[in-house]
Amino acid sequence: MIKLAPRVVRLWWDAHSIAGVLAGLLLHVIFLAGALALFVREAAPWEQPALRLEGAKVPADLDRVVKGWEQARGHPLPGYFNLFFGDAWQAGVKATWGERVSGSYVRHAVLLDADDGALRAVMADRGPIEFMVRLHCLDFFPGGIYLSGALGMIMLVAVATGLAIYLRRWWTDFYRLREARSRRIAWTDVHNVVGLLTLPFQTVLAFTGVFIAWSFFIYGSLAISGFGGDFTALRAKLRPEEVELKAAGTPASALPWNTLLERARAAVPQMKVEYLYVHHYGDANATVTIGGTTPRVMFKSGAVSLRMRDGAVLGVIDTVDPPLAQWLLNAMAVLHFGTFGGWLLDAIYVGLSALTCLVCLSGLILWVEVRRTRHPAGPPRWHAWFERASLGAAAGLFPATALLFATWHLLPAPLSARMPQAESVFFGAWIAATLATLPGKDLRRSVRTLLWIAVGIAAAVPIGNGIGTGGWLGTVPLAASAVDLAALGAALLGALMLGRHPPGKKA
Amino acid sequence: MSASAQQEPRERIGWSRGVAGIVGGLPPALGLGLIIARWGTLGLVLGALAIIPLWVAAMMAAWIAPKPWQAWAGVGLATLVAACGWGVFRL
Repeated sequence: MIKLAPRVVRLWWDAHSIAGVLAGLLLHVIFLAGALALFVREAAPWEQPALRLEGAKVPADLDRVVKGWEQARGHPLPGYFNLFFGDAWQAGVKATWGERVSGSYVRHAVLLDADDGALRAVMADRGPIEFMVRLHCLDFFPGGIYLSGALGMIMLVAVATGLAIYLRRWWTDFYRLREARSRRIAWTDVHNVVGLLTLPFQTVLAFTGVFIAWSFFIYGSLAISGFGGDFTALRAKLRPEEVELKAAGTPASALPWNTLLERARAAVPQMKVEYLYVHHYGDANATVTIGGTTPRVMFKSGAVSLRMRDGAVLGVIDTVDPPLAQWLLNAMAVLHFGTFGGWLLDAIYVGLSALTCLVCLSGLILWVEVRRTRHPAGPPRWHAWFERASLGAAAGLFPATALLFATWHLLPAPLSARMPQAESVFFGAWIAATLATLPGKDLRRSVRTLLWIAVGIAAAVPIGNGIGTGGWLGTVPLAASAVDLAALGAALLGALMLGRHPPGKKA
Repeated sequence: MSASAQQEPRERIGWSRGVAGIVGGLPPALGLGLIIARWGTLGLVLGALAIIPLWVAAMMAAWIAPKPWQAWAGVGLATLVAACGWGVFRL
């Protein structure tokens, strides 16, 4: 093993602590929100009572479905729209499209019957989990997605420097959890052991996260360097299965939908079709991208692009044997969103995200503890404020999140306009919780109180759902109770953990 | 980090070396990524993927330079080499 000079270790340790203290709190927010954002499909029936329906199946006759939708609309279909086939969480075919209304872009979504295309429900595009997606992307800051990319870079620096300085003695330190010693030693061991345990997860998530968040800059530099600034040419090279022709401006009829599906299945026989993206519908150059996955194949996304008037195959990516370049690109998204292993992998991602939050928070605690030992006469006042504000905000995120879900069905606004009220509840609770920890002398007690409040509110999530929608546990399909059950599980786990470490214990 | 090591006089990265790594580390990483990207479709993807880890590596290298000016000189030289390589591959 390479032996590093002590000054190199010290400098990288310096970089590690600066990176951690700069980004620790926001990374905690990003990982917690990201863990919840994984369940955007599963939470929909809980969020929207109109979607608590039985009868999920893949449409046998897509022509009938689209015709039924067109009849239900009463006017022609939009130029751009997407169709998503159902699964256990979605009882029908979901159709989405957007339109410009007085300068702003409005998204629409409806759930169609998988047999005849009849309208089953109008879907709201906003809900608590979608809020978590936006929080994960730091959408509430101007340029938030780029800021989240920058935080991912900082995390990569922290991971790389942490690994470099820790590798020398990981074998011995990995088995050390000295809980009974000083607070600083206990948190050091937690930080090292949990950090090493979650290192591959953190590296993959941070790397893929930066790649996705900064894709505009990365692809922009490639387009400028090799394609004279032509993004379309670059896209055609990287994503041949997503070809979109320029509109011809002349109307033309398309082949039947079932024929287009057959062509797609013939081009990629193993693919289980999951979605259709339609461009310039009704135009002579209308195209459709038909995509899906192949069960039991890693990084299994595949797609076919077809011209709708004659079914000509414009581009194809096979699911089983894709070119290495497309396989790698697929891997970036699939690894980040954890879509390659079903619900069990999602559960593992949640566990690893929770541990990553622990690494971020233990790093913040250590940063303060190390500086406390350097000032025997007492640390500077701003250290105490920093510790209280950062740990208060980190702990305050839990009751605020629990309150968001517990009050979602109790807010007075109709479902489609409820999100501004829910955002006020979340941010109001978070700010109040953070401020409540600032004046207190015993920070540990304040944090424990906040966590106990979060446990209590999480346990009340099913009550909020029952009162607001009548969807009491056991009276609605299991899919509609998924969030209730998850909240109860989180509350139970939180209570057990808090009960295991009563205030009298040292660490 | 052991307690004894922390009690020694601490050498810090400092602003100059820090900025040299963050700002100066990007151009050589980007240059090398763009050179790799000249090599077909797979090169495009590998070049795009390489930029991020190369940048992290350039930062870590610059931060341990003995003197701040050496950090700037190092990233400057690496940028020059990457720029020349990029120019050659575009010819």
